Amino acid sequence: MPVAASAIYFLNLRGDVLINRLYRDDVGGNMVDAFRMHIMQTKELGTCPVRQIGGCSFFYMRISNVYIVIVVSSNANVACAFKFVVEAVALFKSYFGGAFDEDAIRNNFVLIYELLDEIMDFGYPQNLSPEILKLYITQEGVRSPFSSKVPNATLQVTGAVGWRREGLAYKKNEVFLDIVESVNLLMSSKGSVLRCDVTGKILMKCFLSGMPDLKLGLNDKIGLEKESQLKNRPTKRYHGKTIELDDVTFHQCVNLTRFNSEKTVSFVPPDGEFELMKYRITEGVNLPFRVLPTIKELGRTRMEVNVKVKSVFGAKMFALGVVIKIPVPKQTAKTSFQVTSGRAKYNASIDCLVWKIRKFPGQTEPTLSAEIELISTIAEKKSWTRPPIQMEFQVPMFTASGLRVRFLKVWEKSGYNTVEWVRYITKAGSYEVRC
Amino acid sequence: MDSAATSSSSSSPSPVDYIVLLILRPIAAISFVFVFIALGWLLAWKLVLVHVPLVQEIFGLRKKPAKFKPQTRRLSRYYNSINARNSSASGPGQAMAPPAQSSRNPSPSQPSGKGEVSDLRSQLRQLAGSRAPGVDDAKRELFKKVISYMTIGIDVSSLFGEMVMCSVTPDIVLKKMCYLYVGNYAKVNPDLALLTINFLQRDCKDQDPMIRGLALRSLSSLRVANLVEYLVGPLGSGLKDNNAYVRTVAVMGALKLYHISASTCLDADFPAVLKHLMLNDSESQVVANCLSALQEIWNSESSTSEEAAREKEGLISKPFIYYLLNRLREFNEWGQCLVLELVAKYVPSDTNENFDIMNLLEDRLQHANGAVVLATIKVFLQLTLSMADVHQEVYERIKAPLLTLVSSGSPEQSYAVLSHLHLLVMRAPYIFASDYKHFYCQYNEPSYVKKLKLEMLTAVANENNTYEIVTELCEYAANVDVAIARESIRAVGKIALQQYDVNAIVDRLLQFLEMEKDYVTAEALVLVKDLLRKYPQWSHDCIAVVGNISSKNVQEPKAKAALIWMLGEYAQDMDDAPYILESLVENWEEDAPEVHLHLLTAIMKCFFRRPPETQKALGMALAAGLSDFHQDVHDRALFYYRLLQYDVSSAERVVNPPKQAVSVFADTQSNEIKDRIFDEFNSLSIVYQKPSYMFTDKDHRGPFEFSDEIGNLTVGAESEHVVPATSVDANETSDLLLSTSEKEDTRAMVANGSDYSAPFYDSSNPALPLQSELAITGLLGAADPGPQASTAIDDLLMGLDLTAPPAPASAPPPLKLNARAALDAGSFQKKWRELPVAISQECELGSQGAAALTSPQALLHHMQGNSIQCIASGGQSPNFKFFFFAQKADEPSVFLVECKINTSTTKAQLNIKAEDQSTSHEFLALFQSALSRPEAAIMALAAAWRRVSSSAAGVAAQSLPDSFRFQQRSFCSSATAVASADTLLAKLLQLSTSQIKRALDSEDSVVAGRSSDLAVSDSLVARLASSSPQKAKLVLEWRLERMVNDGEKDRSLYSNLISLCAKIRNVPLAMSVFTSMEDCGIQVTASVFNSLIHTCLSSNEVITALSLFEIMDGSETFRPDSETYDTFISGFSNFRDTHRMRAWYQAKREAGFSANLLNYESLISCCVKVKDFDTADLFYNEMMAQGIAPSEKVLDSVLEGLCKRRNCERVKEFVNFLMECRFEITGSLIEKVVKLYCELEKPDEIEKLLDALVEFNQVGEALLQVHCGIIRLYASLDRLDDVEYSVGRMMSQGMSFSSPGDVERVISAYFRREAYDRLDLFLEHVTRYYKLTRSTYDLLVAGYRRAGLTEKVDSVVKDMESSGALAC
Repeated sequence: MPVAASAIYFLNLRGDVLINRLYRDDVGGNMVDAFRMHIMQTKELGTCPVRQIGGCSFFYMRISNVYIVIVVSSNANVACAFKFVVEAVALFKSYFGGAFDEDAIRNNFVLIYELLDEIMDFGYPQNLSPEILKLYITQEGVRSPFSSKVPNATLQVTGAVGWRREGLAYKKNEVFLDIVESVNLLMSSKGSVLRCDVTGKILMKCFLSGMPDLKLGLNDKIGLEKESQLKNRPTKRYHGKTIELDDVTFHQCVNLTRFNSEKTVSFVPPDGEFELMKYRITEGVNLPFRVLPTIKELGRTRMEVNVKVKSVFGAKMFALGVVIKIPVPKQTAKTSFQVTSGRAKYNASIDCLVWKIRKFPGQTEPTLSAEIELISTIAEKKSWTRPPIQMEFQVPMFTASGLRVRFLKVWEKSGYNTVEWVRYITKAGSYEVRC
Repeated sequence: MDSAATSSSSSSPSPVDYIVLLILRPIAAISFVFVFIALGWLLAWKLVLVHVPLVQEIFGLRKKPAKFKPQTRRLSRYYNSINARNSSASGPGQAMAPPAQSSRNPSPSQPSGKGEVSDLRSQLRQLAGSRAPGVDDAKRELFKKVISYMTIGIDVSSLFGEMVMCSVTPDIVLKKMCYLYVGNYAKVNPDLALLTINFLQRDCKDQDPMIRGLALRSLSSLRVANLVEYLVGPLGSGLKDNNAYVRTVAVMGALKLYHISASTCLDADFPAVLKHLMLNDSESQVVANCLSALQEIWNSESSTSEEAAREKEGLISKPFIYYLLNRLREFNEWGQCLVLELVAKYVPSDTNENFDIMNLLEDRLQHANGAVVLATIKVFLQLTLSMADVHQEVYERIKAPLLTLVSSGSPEQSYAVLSHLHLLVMRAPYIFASDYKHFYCQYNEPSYVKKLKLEMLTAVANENNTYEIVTELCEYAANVDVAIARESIRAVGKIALQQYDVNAIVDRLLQFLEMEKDYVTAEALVLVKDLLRKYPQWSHDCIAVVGNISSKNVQEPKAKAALIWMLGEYAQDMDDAPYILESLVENWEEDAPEVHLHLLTAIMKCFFRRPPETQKALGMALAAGLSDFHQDVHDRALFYYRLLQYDVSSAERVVNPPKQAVSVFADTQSNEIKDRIFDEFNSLSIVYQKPSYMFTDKDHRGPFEFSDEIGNLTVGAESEHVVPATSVDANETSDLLLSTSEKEDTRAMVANGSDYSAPFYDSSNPALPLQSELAITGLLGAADPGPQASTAIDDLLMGLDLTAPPAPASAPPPLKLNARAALDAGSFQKKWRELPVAISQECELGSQGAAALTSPQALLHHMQGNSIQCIASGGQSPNFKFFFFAQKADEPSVFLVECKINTSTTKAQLNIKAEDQSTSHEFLALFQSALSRPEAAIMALAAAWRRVSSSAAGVAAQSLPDSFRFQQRSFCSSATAVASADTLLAKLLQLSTSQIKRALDSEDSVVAGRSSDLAVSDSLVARLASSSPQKAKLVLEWRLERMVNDGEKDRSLYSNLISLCAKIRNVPLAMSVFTSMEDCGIQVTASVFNSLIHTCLSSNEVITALSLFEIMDGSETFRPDSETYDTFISGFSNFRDTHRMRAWYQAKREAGFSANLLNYESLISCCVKVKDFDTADLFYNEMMAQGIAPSEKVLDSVLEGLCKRRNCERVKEFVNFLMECRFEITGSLIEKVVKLYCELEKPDEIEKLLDALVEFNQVGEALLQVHCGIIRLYASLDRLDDVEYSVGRMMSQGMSFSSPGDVERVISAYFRREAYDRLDLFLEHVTRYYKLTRSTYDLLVAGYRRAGLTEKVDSVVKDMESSGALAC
């Protein structure tokens, strides 16, 4: 039976132990030294995150300036272990309020010990849901879940009721719904799309009283078809683009059986912020930007770079924080630019021309032209391998997939009115164009 | 501006003062004011404004990630140095201590922990007794400090007592810290831990369930063996606690207790309590914890306790699995992982159940937790493992969730998922072929992800996507990360080697060569070399490009070796090859030994093609080689030198034999290993790509690496029958291609070496070539040859020179195998698991041999003839799998072989494991020769086997190959003669006894031929014996007379006559044959006596038989042979005298004969008949253990035995075994099973039997039997619906009732249920294919009459008249 962890270590970048928790006796005490010796000191970036040293396997993750290391000696379940770490970090973040780094750990180490005790017992993950844990582990450390205030807590501690407690009340009932998509693109230098997909998630923030039942309608193909089938009203079809989702995963609050039978997303939301669903789309992606680079090498010491970036979304919209990184050879000596919009500079530490445009309206095409002088070297000839141009951006109120929320219905016994806020944003995932 | 002003002023003629006064001063004043204002702003900005959020927002300062600022300011540097000193001294405690704390601390910068600890102690003591308000806060701070010390590794265990004293507090956080402290140090201070027991036990009874749970957890985490007695009580009450939180903790506590002291846990009967909780608790977390605890406990107990093993089995029983599945939604995500892991082990009883479970779990694939999704995928994969098409659909279904998981989450998570995807892609590349774009690498991905993706891209390449994939891979070749660039070039090469259309790829590879990057060129060179080995036709294009590469630009040994190989191989096409080689030799010192070895060989090759140009280089190379320090290089140089010295043309044959293109490069991992990894889906095994035993067991880690090494050093010593170039050693690790090539060269050399030396040996001494081959092999392949090895090679070479055949002393004797090796299945499995794979190899079978393999038995007999026994076999055409074993003749060392034969590709995959690793290669040679040599023999055998087993005439088929030939002959001749005998027989039967002899005389021409008539009289007598023994006797007497008259001298005719006497049980006649035989002066032999004994025994004259045996025993010339014993065994078996039969069997074995199939046939059938089932089983097992394939009769008897015992389970098992081993299932066999099931009224079982039969493509009699059986059973159970369904099913398969009895049963069932309409339908349906008999009509008439349906009666009678059944 694969366990998730025999021991957990939190280390800083120097390899000092911030926190350690031994769950089982089957791993020895000098594990940190082994980790330091074999993994941290190799200095190899991109070494495998699962390593075997001695008789033990190490799974490690680096999160800001902290290493989280899980040590096991048996044939453990890797996916489970990594997921556990990710969930645990999310839990800690929700306790500290945001950052998870060395300082946060040092400041909260007692709390972390408390949490580690609860979320894992003898190597088996127990309950990692912040909503429930917060009932009885608080930073003040005085509240007991079994006090009269929360009568139902015992059930929640063991996870029977799950993600929401009863008796919540808000003056103003609000739901915030964010659709966040990140576009991954790999385009060849000739402008053909090699690979393109969108991973999106729907984030919700609920401030709703009581036990509301929510139903979300999207313009995805299966859901629409099913709906028209169920209601038998083919006349009232949804007009506009329908989206085919490649794959969907849901938060545990979503009634999966109902999704499978009726194709509607219905759920009782947890209180506060959570990720309702994730999806992936590969077909019919609207790329927000097109990049047209021309890089000419004029002899050995000179290069000419022309990059045109075209925004393809609606003229009324605009993108924020657009950064275009154009690679140049290592031996770049001098650069000079002309840009029609934004600012550009040469960043020698990453060997890139960084072109920033703070606000980028739709249907425009600013250009950058640069002349680059190189130091002539004899040793390295022809060795510049032209890494891809990378782009960062955020386009609010735009979805690359075309996904739209059609409705968000809230039912509650008391029948209060809710205010719903829906936002869309498209970000760049890895947006690469080869040149 | 200033300078401009001055320059203008200087040019003007006016005096300088004016200028200063009028222009400079105002300017200076204005600039001073500006500077002042700017400074003010700067100060304001730096000190205040930067920190105002609004300003940050406006200037976009927020967006920057907080970077660590370089310490440039003097002040901050000072503060930091103080901080650093503090933290190095007192660790994180300082950092988190509030200001109040530091003021209380007298010396914050004190460097040692010692003083701190004693300081802490005194403070703790002060606080311990006090009950002042706010003391808890102070305590908390102290405790925090203690724990932070503990974390950074300062030993604070000396505070144990104080800590315990302070822990009496209602503050829950304090308690938790205290528990943590205690848990950490209890193990090293068991005595002090005793102190804590008291307060922990008290806390276990606290009112607050939270405290109860915490205390219980701490108590169980103490991990001190002598404190467990205090643990049992609180755990027991904790398990019964009414609060679920306490129960969850207690369950884990029980598991912890088990790990500390298993016996205490078992004595307290906790497993039973846990089981009860697991089945009844309402809290899912309690159930989940129980499940994990019990799994661990029973897993480790099951090896010693049977009960635990049963309980462990019970966890994957149907009711329990269903119970968990029904509650699955209640569990949290981790609990679901746990349950799904268990479900994956469950084997559903039928396919419907499979689909039910899969439908139920399908929505789990959309779960947000990747671990749950993976666990679900495992369930799906495991459930459908036996259903190939559904399995494939599962792949399609899980593709999307897996790809989503890969693209979301952190790189580490996606790596974990990607490893699983990698496994699936490797198993079924074609399913993922269209998704290749998902495996494109992103620029910023970590290299471990890229590496996996590259492998997957390689695997999924097929005709449709190769172009795109290779284009993409070529992009990576220019990657910054050199390792990845190399990998991608290798990937291109691999694709080239696995594709048929390589045009485009070759072009690209050649482009790589022109890229002028060292590592790219190096990798590409290695690839081009491999490519040329597979596709020699490309040599022209490649050589043109390779020729342009300067050897100076190639530095890596592997690449250099590849280049040199090409130079040597294509010396005639490359003009300056000799000169390049020469320049390489000149720089001998620079290169690695690997390069030297290739250089030597290449120069030799070049020399044979272009001698005058190379001669100089060769001389230099040999000289340099001989003086080289590296042993292998030295040896090779010496070897070549002596070869050349001996004879140049022979040397050419050795060094430069005609090459064959390599068709397949070997796989790195055996399929068995791959399957094992697959079984451990969703665990570390997948990431490491090796089965768990290799990295969890300490014993295995060593041998695995060791065996790898051995594999690398292997030089195949294989038989000459296998073409050396087509098979390649498989145990390669990192550097698959190059080392193969090297090895292949060497092997080719070795094989040819023996070929060429053969003529010098005496051809009557066949062992010698093998020995010399082995000697060379041993020397070249030895890891550390040492000085004696080089002398041995000298010896060998001297031997060659002298052309005398003394065997080198170091050569091992040829391997001999024990012909009667025995190993039972259990120990075989054990050994198989223990031993590492010594050799794994693929070899060619030859299409004929493969074609012969339609029945695996043939191969088994053949291998048995070569002293290699089979322990298990199975598979379906075209894939067969065999497990063989063999034993050395002189020692108990065993070889185990797994042999997978694919008859369509005519390939055999061999995995050999040996107890004695050193001889495994000799064994391989032996095995391969056995496997490949007598293909024709196998084929003939197999063909004949099929004929015999299907024909009634060959019922007594001998299974041993030599006796088989006789059988075949007799069968053939009898087939031709039977026709002519038929007419004679009819005649004889009509004649009276007195006329027989005359009739025979008249038919002389037919009967009286010499040996050909034997068959005729055989069949004649056999048939006569049943109808008229008297006439048969007359025929025999007549034959005897004729033989005597003719003065017949052929002994076999007489002995045949005697055995014919046995058929009519006439001893006196046999005796007279015997005496007349002696009269004719024919030497009696054992076989004659055997026939005589057979006759005696079959006529129930035991005493005569025994006295005959005594005569034999006393004689010299006709001592009893194995057949004699056989005769006795079968004789007593017919008498059902188990006691004496077994005695004779014993005697036979004592006499030094091994038991054969016939013996077992008689033994088993007799035992079954007298209902001594245990003995029968014993014999059966013994027979299987000896590797004797059971005959139909044996199977029949065994099955009968099982049926008689009404042991349903075992019958089922046995039938499955028969089908899996591809035995032909006859009607009589199945009839027994059907009968048993009918008796026991088990319709489900019989349906399953039908399914199994259909699945294994059994047809004919057996299937019909089952169908009829099913119908019969349903009819007797009055389940009309089922009856109709099964009749329809049977009819649809083109079968009809075999006996009227079944029809009548059905009809009476209809009558019983009074379903006359349905009966009509049934009859209408049935009569289309089946003619009703008289008795059926009678039954119908009687039934209708009783029901009072007169018009029906009339119509039935009418039908009967029209069908003509009334007449007969």
